[in-house]
Amino acid sequence: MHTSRRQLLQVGLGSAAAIALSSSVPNFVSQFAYANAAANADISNDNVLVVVQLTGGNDGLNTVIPYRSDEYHKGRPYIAIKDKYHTLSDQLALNPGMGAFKGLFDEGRLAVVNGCGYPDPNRSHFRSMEIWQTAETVKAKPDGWLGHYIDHCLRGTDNPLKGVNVGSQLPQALVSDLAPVPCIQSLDDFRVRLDGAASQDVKLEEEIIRQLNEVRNQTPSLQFLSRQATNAIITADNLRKLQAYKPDVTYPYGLGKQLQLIAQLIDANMGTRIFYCQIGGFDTHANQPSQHQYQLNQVSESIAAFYKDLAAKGHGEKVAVMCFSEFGRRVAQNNSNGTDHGTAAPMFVVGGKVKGGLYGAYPSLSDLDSGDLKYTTDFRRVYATLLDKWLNVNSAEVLGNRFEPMMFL
Amino acid sequence: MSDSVTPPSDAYSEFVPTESEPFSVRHVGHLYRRMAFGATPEDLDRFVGKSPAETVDQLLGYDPDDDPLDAQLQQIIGLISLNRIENVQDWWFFRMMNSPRPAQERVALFWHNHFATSAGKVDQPILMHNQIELFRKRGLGSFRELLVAVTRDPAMLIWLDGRYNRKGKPNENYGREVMELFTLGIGNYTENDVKQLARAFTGWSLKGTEASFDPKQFDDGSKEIFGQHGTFNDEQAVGLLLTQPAAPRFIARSLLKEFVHPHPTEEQVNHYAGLVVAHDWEIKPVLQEMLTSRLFYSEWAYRAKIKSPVDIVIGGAKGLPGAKPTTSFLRDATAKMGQNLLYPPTVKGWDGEESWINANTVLLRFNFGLALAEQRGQDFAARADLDAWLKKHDLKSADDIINHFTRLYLDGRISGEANAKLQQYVANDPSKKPKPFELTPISVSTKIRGILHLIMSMPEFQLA
Repeated sequence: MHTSRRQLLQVGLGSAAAIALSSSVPNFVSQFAYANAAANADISNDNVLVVVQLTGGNDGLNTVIPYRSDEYHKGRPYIAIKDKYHTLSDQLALNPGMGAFKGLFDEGRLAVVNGCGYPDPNRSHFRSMEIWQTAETVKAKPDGWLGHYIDHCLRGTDNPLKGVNVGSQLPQALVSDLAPVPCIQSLDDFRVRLDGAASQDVKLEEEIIRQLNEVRNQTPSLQFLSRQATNAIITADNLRKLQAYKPDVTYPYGLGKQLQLIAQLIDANMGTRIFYCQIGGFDTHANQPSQHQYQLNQVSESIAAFYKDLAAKGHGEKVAVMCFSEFGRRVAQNNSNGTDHGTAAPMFVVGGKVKGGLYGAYPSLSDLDSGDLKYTTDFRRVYATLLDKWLNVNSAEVLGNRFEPMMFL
Repeated sequence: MSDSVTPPSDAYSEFVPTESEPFSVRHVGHLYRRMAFGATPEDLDRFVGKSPAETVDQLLGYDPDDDPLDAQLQQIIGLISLNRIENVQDWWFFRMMNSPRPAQERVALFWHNHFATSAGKVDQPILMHNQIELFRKRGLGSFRELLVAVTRDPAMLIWLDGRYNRKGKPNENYGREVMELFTLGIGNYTENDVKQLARAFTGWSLKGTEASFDPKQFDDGSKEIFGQHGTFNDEQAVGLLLTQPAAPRFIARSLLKEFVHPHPTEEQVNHYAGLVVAHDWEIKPVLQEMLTSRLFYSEWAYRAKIKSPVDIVIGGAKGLPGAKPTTSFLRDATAKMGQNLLYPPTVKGWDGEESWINANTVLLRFNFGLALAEQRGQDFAARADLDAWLKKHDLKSADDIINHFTRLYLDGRISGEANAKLQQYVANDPSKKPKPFELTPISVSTKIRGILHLIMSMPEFQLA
């Protein structure tokens, strides 16, 4: 009944289907060698990366504020932030909503990487997001940078939870060639429910659902669906063992609850190396200040709670959180007290082993490119740093090019 | 298998059924999945043996200003307020479930995804309701008129900030997205076109829940758009947009992807773009030709799309006459599966197809199948009377029942292997003695529900 791996390869599925069958073909993939020998013996091999995506184009200038800059205040007469900010240096300060990040900064656990961008910036949400998620600025690419990492650097295991997206939609960053990365919204929903009244049939019902979704020599779309279902069922089997989780902090709603689920999965030691979650609402074309401050407050409070919870549980040093958005916004405000799509913006990295501080030059506000900031730091240098110095793989193999690592790790 | 399936050579000729190639369950089921969220047993009985032309006429031939659900809805609207967004969602789910003209709702859903306005920003629910009404009323008419109406639609004026777009103080949001997402696609305009087009859309803002035009806020200066000069207003700007060669191709591609195949060929796009122009942007005749073509009924298009959560939920529920799931149950189920109606995830709408499917949503789809089969608790105002159903359809044996439901939900196209699994399930007995299926109250309440759950957990059921 099962199709041979060769047949699956012939229909263009790579070994994805084979991995989907991993419960019936134990350790099949263990035959693959690791793609990358661990680059550095000093780096722990169970470090975890959590990516927090700020969707919509976060206004970097009102996030890390050049509060002394005349150009900043001139370009933004109604929306420049004039007080209540949290000072990071004699030039830069965090948005008033980011008190919790200020705390992390003072503890030396928050790295602020200024001026992140890429050449020939694109102002379309989708194209720019694609660029960030694939780490490829020129041509379109089907798989994501983290999907690529999972495919090529975590081959030695058939764990279905190598990466986890918390949310309902898989971001392109996690699109892989091999086993699909699961999306989990809540553990309660993540199981195959069965008819409680038909007790004599439940075992068979469950077994038949598995069998109906076995990957066979079908059309590509049926194989895709079967592969996803089989993976989901195997993943659900794994998650069934999870115990109830008692966080050491109270998480905010929204992003906070996503991070709480991630903390639970980290604490349960499921072997997941990559987590991904996102928060929307950053496309602030109009009436920006209060909304933007609220969003940044969510981000800052949620990540700080997450870090505190993990630290209390003894995982603070094995987790790094990276925050990014698809672009920043123009220097000059628009006439709706908002900002339009722009270019370079800061990224954040938080973690127990992160060397906190300011990295990357803050872009000049007088030397602009048709109203937009010129980036100073290729965002892929941040990716490279995390790959080389945190996930302990050769970043050039994942990113396709060598990007100079930074010093925040 | 279907790797080798390619579009038919006589793709654009009308599929006229013959004795050797009749209009079968496979054809009617396919058409109803694409245009009506799925068929009821009555739909199948009514149109099997007829023709695509007749069936499509029936589906699309409604008068959008006459509303058969009006009296019923007025009664309900008396009790609920359209100032709560959940109520607006429920109002639409009620229509999808109960409308004798499901294609009208299906077309409105297409435009909702095309113009992808979200209640997350449009904080007056009545305006979301009014925008959906616009799609319901004008969805099959002229796209030119629809686009002008959308440009001035209050929800859209909020969603893409048109209300802040004033003379001397342009806001480019709508100007950019109308080209990138609604008419041309990226790469078919310049940054200068964005700036100039934004000026042409100035002057509109909101007065209460209505759009209002203030000539003093309209930038009546000369603009250069696509190399043409003039004082262009919004209507003229829309006219200019639609003279771009990319525009009819953009709309043709959207229609093909939505209703025919996720990956149309360039030749197909060009063919239907020609029809869009020939019919002067009227959508109905283009859709009529599309849905009666050999292309539409070909093996290439059959089961080529992945059902959206709305397809799963409405299609699943419509197959069980008498079952009355609450609209809140339908709303929550689709939202969890990734399609929270009136809240598209981005200005691009839902990506659809493979992006519907991941570990979480697959399990939710299966679990929805179970909930639909069980019809327990407060999620159902009424349950399907399966006993009456069995009598009505003269279903006596396990085979009868499996055939009935696989015909309804899978056009009867199911592998021998899968069929054997369903048979095995029906025959299962805790005492391990295989025995013939008997219709007793217990077998009805457990085995049939099990069969429904299993059918809705099949990969084939996920395809549209």
